[in-house]
Amino acid sequence: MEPTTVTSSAAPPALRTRTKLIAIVALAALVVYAVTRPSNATVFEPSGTPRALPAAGELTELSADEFEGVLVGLRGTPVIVNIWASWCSPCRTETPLLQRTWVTHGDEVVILGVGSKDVPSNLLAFMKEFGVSYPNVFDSSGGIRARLGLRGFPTTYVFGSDGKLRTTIVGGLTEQRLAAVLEDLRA
Amino acid sequence: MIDIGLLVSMAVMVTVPAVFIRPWPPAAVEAGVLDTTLGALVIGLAVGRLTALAIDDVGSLTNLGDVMIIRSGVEFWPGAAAGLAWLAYRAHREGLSASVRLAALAPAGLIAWSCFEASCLLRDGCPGPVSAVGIRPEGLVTRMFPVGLGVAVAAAASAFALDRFHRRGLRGVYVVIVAVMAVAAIRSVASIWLPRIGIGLTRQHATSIAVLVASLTALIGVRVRRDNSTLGVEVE
Repeated sequence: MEPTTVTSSAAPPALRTRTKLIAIVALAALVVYAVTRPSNATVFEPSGTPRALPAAGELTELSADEFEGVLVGLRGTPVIVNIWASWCSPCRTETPLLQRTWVTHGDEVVILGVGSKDVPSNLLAFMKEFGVSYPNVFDSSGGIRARLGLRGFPTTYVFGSDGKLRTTIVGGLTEQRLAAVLEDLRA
Repeated sequence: MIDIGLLVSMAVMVTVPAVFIRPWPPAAVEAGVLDTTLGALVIGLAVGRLTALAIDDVGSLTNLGDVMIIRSGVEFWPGAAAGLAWLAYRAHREGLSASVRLAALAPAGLIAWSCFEASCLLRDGCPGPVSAVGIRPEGLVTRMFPVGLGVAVAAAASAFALDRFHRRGLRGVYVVIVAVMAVAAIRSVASIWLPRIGIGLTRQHATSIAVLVASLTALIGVRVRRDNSTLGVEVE
Protein backbone atom coordinates (compact mmCIF):
# COMPACT_ATOMS: atom_id res chain seq x y z
CA MET A 1 0.00 0.00 0.00
CA GLU A 2 1.28 3.39 -0.97
CA PRO A 3 1.88 5.83 1.93
CA THR A 4 -0.41 8.86 2.06
CA THR A 5 1.30 11.99 0.83
CA VAL A 6 1.34 14.77 3.40
CA THR A 7 2.20 18.31 2.35
CA SER A 8 4.59 20.19 4.58
CA SER A 9 2.79 23.46 3.94
CA ALA A 10 0.85 24.97 6.86
CA ALA A 11 -2.32 25.18 4.80
CA PRO A 12 -3.56 22.41 2.47
CA PRO A 13 -3.41 23.31 -1.24
CA ALA A 14 -7.21 23.27 -1.65
CA LEU A 15 -7.64 25.82 1.12
CA ARG A 16 -4.90 27.97 -0.29
CA THR A 17 -6.57 27.93 -3.69
CA ARG A 18 -9.94 28.81 -2.13
CA THR A 19 -8.38 31.64 -0.14
CA LYS A 20 -6.76 32.99 -3.28
CA LEU A 21 -10.06 32.82 -5.11
CA ILE A 22 -11.88 34.70 -2.35
CA ALA A 23 -9.16 37.33 -2.27
CA ILE A 24 -9.30 37.79 -6.04
CA VAL A 25 -13.10 38.04 -6.10
CA ALA A 26 -13.14 40.51 -3.18
CA LEU A 27 -10.47 42.60 -4.83
CA ALA A 28 -12.27 42.58 -8.17
CA ALA A 29 -15.50 43.67 -6.43
CA LEU A 30 -13.68 46.53 -4.70
CA VAL A 31 -12.09 47.69 -7.93
CA VAL A 32 -15.42 47.54 -9.79
CA TYR A 33 -17.05 49.57 -7.00
CA ALA A 34 -14.26 52.14 -7.04
CA VAL A 35 -14.49 52.50 -10.82
CA THR A 36 -18.29 52.74 -10.97
CA ARG A 37 -18.91 54.79 -7.81
CA PRO A 38 -20.78 58.06 -8.28
CA SER A 39 -18.69 61.02 -9.36
CA ASN A 40 -18.03 63.94 -7.00
CA ALA A 41 -19.20 66.28 -9.73
CA THR A 42 -21.51 69.04 -8.52
CA VAL A 43 -23.71 70.99 -10.89
CA PHE A 44 -23.45 74.65 -9.95
CA GLU A 45 -23.32 77.83 -11.97
CA PRO A 46 -23.16 81.08 -10.02
CA SER A 47 -25.62 83.82 -10.83
CA GLY A 48 -26.70 87.16 -9.40
CA THR A 49 -25.35 90.66 -9.11
CA PRO A 50 -21.59 90.96 -9.58
CA ARG A 51 -19.73 91.88 -6.42
CA ALA A 52 -16.11 92.87 -5.78
CA LEU A 53 -13.64 90.30 -4.48
CA PRO A 54 -13.06 90.86 -0.74
CA ALA A 55 -9.66 92.21 0.26
CA ALA A 56 -6.90 89.64 0.62
CA GLY A 57 -5.77 88.76 4.13
CA GLU A 58 -9.16 89.63 5.68
CA LEU A 59 -12.14 87.47 6.59
CA THR A 60 -15.27 89.06 5.15
CA GLU A 61 -18.63 87.63 6.19
CA LEU A 62 -20.79 86.81 3.18
CA SER A 63 -24.18 85.27 2.52
CA ALA A 64 -24.58 82.61 -0.16
CA ASP A 65 -26.05 85.16 -2.59
CA GLU A 66 -23.18 87.59 -1.97
CA PHE A 67 -20.70 84.75 -2.48
CA GLU A 68 -22.29 83.90 -5.83
CA GLY A 69 -22.03 87.59 -6.72
CA VAL A 70 -18.28 87.47 -6.07
CA LEU A 71 -17.95 84.51 -8.44
CA VAL A 72 -20.01 86.30 -11.09
CA GLY A 73 -17.76 89.33 -10.69
CA LEU A 74 -14.70 87.15 -11.28
CA ARG A 75 -15.89 85.79 -14.64
CA GLY A 76 -13.05 85.84 -17.11
CA THR A 77 -10.59 84.48 -14.54
CA PRO A 78 -10.38 80.91 -13.26
CA VAL A 79 -11.27 80.64 -9.56
CA ILE A 80 -10.31 77.94 -7.06
CA VAL A 81 -12.72 77.98 -4.12
CA ASN A 82 -11.48 76.12 -1.05
CA ILE A 83 -13.86 75.42 1.82
CA TRP A 84 -11.95 74.94 5.04
CA ALA A 85 -12.04 75.10 8.84
CA SER A 86 -9.38 75.52 11.49
CA TRP A 87 -10.18 72.10 13.03
CA CYS A 88 -9.77 70.25 9.73
CA SER A 89 -6.53 68.27 9.56
CA PRO A 90 -6.13 68.01 5.75
CA CYS A 91 -6.72 71.79 5.62
CA ARG A 92 -3.47 72.25 7.50
CA THR A 93 -1.63 70.30 4.80
CA GLU A 94 -3.26 71.91 1.78
CA THR A 95 -3.27 75.54 2.96
CA PRO A 96 0.50 75.97 2.37
CA LEU A 97 -0.03 74.53 -1.14
CA LEU A 98 -2.82 77.01 -1.85
CA GLN A 99 -0.70 79.86 -0.49
CA ARG A 100 2.21 78.79 -2.73
CA THR A 101 -0.17 78.64 -5.70
CA TRP A 102 -1.43 82.16 -4.89
CA VAL A 103 2.14 83.47 -4.74
CA THR A 104 3.34 81.74 -7.92
CA HIS A 105 0.16 81.72 -10.06
CA GLY A 106 -1.92 84.53 -8.55
CA ASP A 107 -1.73 86.44 -11.82
CA GLU A 108 -3.61 83.72 -13.71
CA VAL A 109 -5.96 82.21 -11.14
CA VAL A 110 -7.84 83.50 -8.08
CA ILE A 111 -7.76 81.46 -4.88
CA LEU A 112 -10.80 82.15 -2.71
CA GLY A 113 -10.97 80.55 0.73
CA VAL A 114 -14.30 79.99 2.47
CA GLY A 115 -13.98 79.49 6.22
CA SER A 116 -17.03 77.58 7.40
CA LYS A 117 -18.44 75.68 10.40
CA ASP A 118 -16.02 77.53 12.65
CA VAL A 119 -15.65 80.75 14.64
CA PRO A 120 -13.95 83.81 13.13
CA SER A 121 -11.27 84.04 15.83
CA ASN A 122 -10.09 80.47 15.10
CA LEU A 123 -10.21 81.07 11.36
CA LEU A 124 -8.17 84.27 11.66
CA ALA A 125 -5.62 82.56 13.93
CA PHE A 126 -5.29 79.76 11.34
CA MET A 127 -4.77 82.29 8.54
CA LYS A 128 -2.13 84.06 10.59
CA GLU A 129 -0.37 80.77 11.46
CA PHE A 130 -0.06 79.80 7.79
CA GLY A 131 0.58 83.31 6.47
CA VAL A 132 -2.49 83.17 4.23
CA SER A 133 -2.55 86.16 1.88
CA TYR A 134 -5.24 85.10 -0.59
CA PRO A 135 -8.82 86.34 -0.21
CA ASN A 136 -11.02 84.59 2.31
CA VAL A 137 -14.67 84.89 3.28
CA PHE A 138 -16.59 83.69 6.33
CA ASP A 139 -19.61 81.45 5.80
CA SER A 140 -21.33 82.28 9.11
CA SER A 141 -24.73 80.78 8.28
CA GLY A 142 -23.49 77.70 6.41
CA GLY A 143 -25.37 78.96 3.36
CA ILE A 144 -22.33 78.90 1.07
CA ARG A 145 -21.43 75.30 1.84
CA ALA A 146 -25.08 74.29 1.43
CA ARG A 147 -25.31 76.09 -1.91
CA LEU A 148 -22.19 74.29 -3.15
CA GLY A 149 -23.46 70.92 -1.89
CA LEU A 150 -20.50 70.36 0.44
CA ARG A 151 -20.05 66.75 1.55
CA GLY A 152 -16.94 67.02 3.71
CA PHE A 153 -14.06 69.23 4.82
CA PRO A 154 -12.06 70.32 2.98
CA THR A 155 -13.55 70.54 -0.50
CA THR A 156 -12.15 72.49 -3.42
CA TYR A 157 -14.28 73.75 -6.30
CA VAL A 158 -12.58 74.78 -9.53
CA PHE A 159 -14.37 77.29 -11.75
CA GLY A 160 -13.22 77.96 -15.29
CA SER A 161 -12.88 81.43 -16.73
CA ASP A 162 -16.39 80.99 -18.18
CA GLY A 163 -17.71 80.90 -14.61
CA LYS A 164 -18.79 77.28 -14.78
CA LEU A 165 -17.82 74.69 -12.19
CA ARG A 166 -15.30 72.31 -13.78
CA THR A 167 -14.03 70.13 -10.97
CA THR A 168 -14.88 69.27 -7.38
CA ILE A 169 -12.14 67.79 -5.21
CA VAL A 170 -13.46 66.32 -1.98
CA GLY A 171 -10.78 65.87 0.69
CA GLY A 172 -7.23 67.17 0.98
CA LEU A 173 -5.42 68.46 -2.07
CA THR A 174 -2.10 67.01 -3.11
CA GLU A 175 0.50 69.08 -4.93
CA GLN A 176 0.16 66.87 -8.01
CA ARG A 177 -3.60 67.19 -8.10
CA LEU A 178 -3.53 70.96 -7.64
CA ALA A 179 -0.77 71.38 -10.24
CA ALA A 180 -2.76 69.22 -12.68
CA VAL A 181 -5.81 71.43 -12.11
CA LEU A 182 -3.70 74.51 -12.90
CA GLU A 183 -2.41 72.87 -16.10
CA ASP A 184 -5.99 72.05 -17.03
CA LEU A 185 -7.15 75.63 -16.44
CA ARG A 186 -4.39 76.90 -18.74
CA ALA A 187 -5.47 74.55 -21.56
CA MET B 1 -15.24 60.48 5.24
CA ILE B 2 -13.50 57.44 3.77
CA ASP B 3 -11.39 57.83 0.67
CA ILE B 4 -12.61 54.82 -1.33
CA GLY B 5 -9.91 55.21 -3.98
CA LEU B 6 -7.14 55.12 -1.40
CA LEU B 7 -8.78 52.20 0.41
CA VAL B 8 -8.96 50.16 -2.79
CA SER B 9 -5.37 51.10 -3.65
CA MET B 10 -4.24 49.74 -0.29
CA ALA B 11 -6.28 46.56 -0.79
CA VAL B 12 -4.75 46.00 -4.24
CA MET B 13 -1.27 46.74 -2.89
CA VAL B 14 -1.59 44.18 -0.10
CA THR B 15 -3.56 41.45 -1.89
CA VAL B 16 -1.79 41.10 -5.24
CA PRO B 17 1.72 40.30 -3.90
CA ALA B 18 0.28 38.14 -1.13
CA VAL B 19 -1.71 36.03 -3.57
CA PHE B 20 0.48 35.93 -6.66
CA ILE B 21 4.13 36.31 -5.61
CA ARG B 22 6.17 33.26 -4.60
CA PRO B 23 9.22 34.44 -2.65
CA TRP B 24 12.52 32.77 -3.28
CA PRO B 25 13.93 30.93 -1.38
CA PRO B 26 10.56 29.85 0.05
CA ALA B 27 12.13 28.99 3.43
CA ALA B 28 12.97 32.67 3.94
CA VAL B 29 9.27 33.58 4.08
CA GLU B 30 7.72 30.50 5.66
CA ALA B 31 4.75 32.35 7.13
CA GLY B 32 3.78 33.76 3.73
CA VAL B 33 4.16 37.26 2.29
CA LEU B 34 1.16 38.80 4.04
CA ASP B 35 1.89 37.55 7.56
CA THR B 36 5.56 38.40 7.25
CA THR B 37 5.05 41.93 5.95
CA LEU B 38 1.91 43.12 7.76
CA GLY B 39 3.83 44.46 10.76
CA ALA B 40 6.28 46.26 8.49
CA LEU B 41 3.40 47.82 6.55
CA VAL B 42 1.75 49.17 9.69
CA ILE B 43 5.03 50.47 11.12
CA GLY B 44 6.03 51.98 7.78
CA LEU B 45 2.72 53.80 7.48
CA ALA B 46 2.96 55.09 11.05
CA VAL B 47 6.55 56.32 10.71
CA GLY B 48 5.86 57.83 7.28
CA ARG B 49 2.80 59.62 8.61
CA LEU B 50 4.52 60.95 11.73
CA THR B 51 7.46 62.16 9.64
CA ALA B 52 5.12 63.97 7.24
CA LEU B 53 3.44 65.71 10.17
CA ALA B 54 6.76 66.57 11.80
CA ILE B 55 7.88 68.24 8.56
CA ASP B 56 4.62 69.91 7.52
CA ASP B 57 2.78 70.69 10.71
CA VAL B 58 4.48 69.66 13.92
CA GLY B 59 1.55 70.91 16.02
CA SER B 60 -0.64 68.11 14.61
CA LEU B 61 1.52 65.44 16.27
CA THR B 62 -0.34 65.96 19.56
CA ASN B 63 -3.74 65.27 17.99
CA LEU B 64 -4.53 61.60 17.32
CA GLY B 65 -7.32 62.55 14.90
CA ASP B 66 -4.87 64.55 12.79
CA VAL B 67 -2.32 61.74 12.84
CA MET B 68 -4.87 59.16 11.71
CA ILE B 69 -5.90 61.02 8.55
CA ILE B 70 -3.44 59.26 6.29
CA ARG B 71 -4.71 60.90 3.08
CA SER B 72 -3.09 64.17 3.99
CA GLY B 73 0.40 62.75 3.56
CA VAL B 74 2.86 59.92 4.27
CA GLU B 75 6.59 60.37 3.71
CA PHE B 76 7.74 57.52 1.48
CA TRP B 77 11.39 56.97 2.38
CA PRO B 78 11.19 57.21 6.19
CA GLY B 79 8.24 54.81 6.03
CA ALA B 80 10.12 52.42 3.73
CA ALA B 81 13.21 52.55 5.96
CA ALA B 82 11.13 51.78 9.05
CA GLY B 83 9.40 48.88 7.31
CA LEU B 84 12.72 47.42 6.12
CA ALA B 85 14.23 47.83 9.60
CA TRP B 86 11.27 45.99 11.12
CA LEU B 87 11.60 43.13 8.62
CA ALA B 88 15.34 42.90 9.32
CA TYR B 89 14.71 42.88 13.07
CA ARG B 90 12.08 40.13 12.78
CA ALA B 91 14.41 38.04 10.59
CA HIS B 92 17.20 38.44 13.14
CA ARG B 93 14.83 37.35 15.94
CA GLU B 94 13.97 34.24 13.92
CA GLY B 95 17.65 33.42 13.38
CA LEU B 96 17.56 34.26 9.69
CA SER B 97 19.90 36.52 7.77
CA ALA B 98 18.23 39.90 7.23
CA SER B 99 19.51 40.11 3.65
CA VAL B 100 18.10 36.66 2.84
CA ARG B 101 14.64 37.64 4.18
CA LEU B 102 14.67 41.08 2.55
CA ALA B 103 15.91 39.71 -0.78
CA ALA B 104 13.14 37.10 -0.78
CA LEU B 105 10.57 39.85 -0.20
CA ALA B 106 12.07 42.46 -2.55
CA PRO B 107 10.10 41.41 -5.68
CA ALA B 108 6.88 41.30 -3.64
CA GLY B 109 7.65 44.78 -2.31
CA LEU B 110 8.25 46.12 -5.81
CA ILE B 111 5.03 44.53 -7.05
CA ALA B 112 3.14 46.04 -4.09
CA TRP B 113 4.48 49.48 -4.97
CA SER B 114 3.67 48.88 -8.63
CA CYS B 115 0.07 48.01 -7.71
CA PHE B 116 -0.26 51.12 -5.54
CA GLU B 117 1.01 53.34 -8.36
CA ALA B 118 -1.16 51.64 -11.00
CA SER B 119 -4.24 52.18 -8.85
CA CYS B 120 -3.71 55.94 -9.17
CA LEU B 121 -6.46 55.49 -11.75
CA LEU B 122 -8.84 54.94 -8.83
CA ARG B 123 -7.51 57.82 -6.71
CA ASP B 124 -6.68 60.90 -8.72
CA GLY B 125 -6.63 59.79 -12.35
CA CYS B 126 -2.82 59.65 -12.67
CA PRO B 127 -1.93 63.26 -13.52
CA GLY B 128 1.22 64.00 -15.50
CA PRO B 129 2.49 66.31 -18.19
CA VAL B 130 -0.03 67.52 -20.77
CA SER B 131 0.21 65.13 -23.71
CA ALA B 132 -1.79 64.10 -26.74
CA VAL B 133 -1.06 60.51 -25.71
CA GLY B 134 -2.63 60.05 -22.33
CA ILE B 135 -5.77 59.96 -20.27
CA ARG B 136 -8.02 62.60 -18.77
CA PRO B 137 -7.71 62.62 -14.97
CA GLU B 138 -11.10 62.76 -13.25
CA GLY B 139 -12.72 66.16 -13.59
CA LEU B 140 -10.15 67.54 -16.03
CA VAL B 141 -10.60 68.19 -19.74
CA THR B 142 -6.90 67.98 -20.63
CA ARG B 143 -5.19 64.73 -21.58
CA MET B 144 -2.13 63.98 -19.47
CA PHE B 145 0.51 61.29 -19.71
CA PRO B 146 -0.17 58.92 -16.79
CA VAL B 147 3.13 59.02 -14.94
CA GLY B 148 1.76 56.70 -12.23
CA LEU B 149 1.14 53.96 -14.77
CA GLY B 150 4.65 54.39 -16.16
CA VAL B 151 6.04 54.04 -12.64
CA ALA B 152 3.95 50.90 -12.14
CA VAL B 153 5.31 49.29 -15.31
CA ALA B 154 8.91 50.17 -14.39
CA ALA B 155 8.48 48.81 -10.85
CA ALA B 156 6.93 45.56 -12.09
CA ALA B 157 9.70 45.11 -14.67
CA SER B 158 12.31 45.67 -11.93
CA ALA B 159 10.59 43.08 -9.73
CA PHE B 160 10.62 40.41 -12.43
CA ALA B 161 14.23 41.15 -13.41
CA LEU B 162 15.45 41.07 -9.80
CA ASP B 163 13.56 37.87 -9.08
CA ARG B 164 15.08 36.25 -12.15
CA PHE B 165 18.62 37.33 -11.21
CA HIS B 166 18.11 36.25 -7.60
CA ARG B 167 16.99 32.77 -8.65
CA ARG B 168 20.05 32.56 -10.89
CA GLY B 169 22.39 33.23 -8.00
CA LEU B 170 22.63 36.97 -7.39
CA ARG B 171 23.46 37.40 -3.72
CA GLY B 172 20.75 38.61 -1.39
CA VAL B 173 22.57 41.74 -0.28
CA TYR B 174 22.87 42.87 -3.90
CA VAL B 175 19.20 42.11 -4.55
CA VAL B 176 18.18 44.32 -1.62
CA ILE B 177 20.44 47.23 -2.58
CA VAL B 178 19.50 47.07 -6.26
CA ALA B 179 15.80 46.98 -5.33
CA VAL B 180 16.22 50.17 -3.28
CA MET B 181 18.21 51.72 -6.13
CA ALA B 182 15.48 50.82 -8.61
CA VAL B 183 12.79 52.46 -6.50
CA ALA B 184 14.92 55.58 -5.96
CA ALA B 185 15.76 55.82 -9.67
CA ILE B 186 12.15 55.35 -10.78
CA ARG B 187 10.88 57.93 -8.28
CA SER B 188 13.62 60.38 -9.30
CA VAL B 189 12.79 60.10 -13.00
CA ALA B 190 9.03 60.21 -12.38
CA SER B 191 9.46 63.37 -10.30
CA ILE B 192 10.69 65.21 -13.39
CA TRP B 193 7.30 64.72 -15.08
CA LEU B 194 4.92 64.88 -12.14
CA PRO B 195 2.97 68.15 -12.02
CA ARG B 196 4.21 70.51 -9.30
CA ILE B 197 3.67 74.03 -8.10
CA GLY B 198 6.50 76.50 -8.53
CA ILE B 199 10.05 75.63 -9.46
CA GLY B 200 12.80 73.60 -7.80
CA LEU B 201 13.00 70.00 -6.69
CA THR B 202 10.05 68.50 -4.87
CA ARG B 203 10.68 66.65 -1.60
CA GLN B 204 10.04 63.35 -3.40
CA HIS B 205 12.64 64.21 -6.01
CA ALA B 206 15.33 65.40 -3.59
CA THR B 207 14.96 62.49 -1.18
CA SER B 208 14.91 59.94 -4.00
CA ILE B 209 18.14 61.33 -5.45
CA ALA B 210 19.71 61.17 -1.98
CA VAL B 211 18.62 57.54 -1.54
CA LEU B 212 19.86 56.68 -5.03
CA VAL B 213 23.30 58.08 -4.23
CA ALA B 214 23.37 56.37 -0.81
CA SER B 215 22.36 52.98 -2.23
CA LEU B 216 24.88 53.26 -5.05
CA THR B 217 27.56 54.01 -2.44
CA ALA B 218 26.42 51.00 -0.42
CA LEU B 219 26.56 48.78 -3.50
CA ILE B 220 30.11 49.88 -4.26
CA GLY B 221 31.06 49.46 -0.59
CA VAL B 222 29.74 45.90 -0.44
CA ARG B 223 31.47 45.04 -3.70
CA VAL B 224 34.81 46.48 -2.55
CA ARG B 225 34.55 44.75 0.81
CA ARG B 226 33.89 41.45 -0.91
CA ASP B 227 36.84 41.92 -3.27
CA ASN B 228 39.13 42.74 -0.35
CA SER B 229 38.01 39.76 1.65
CA THR B 230 40.96 37.36 1.86
CA LEU B 231 39.05 34.77 3.83
CA GLY B 232 36.27 34.34 1.29
CA VAL B 233 33.68 34.97 4.00
CA GLU B 234 30.21 35.47 2.60
CA VAL B 235 28.90 38.98 3.03
CA GLU B 236 25.44 37.70 3.87
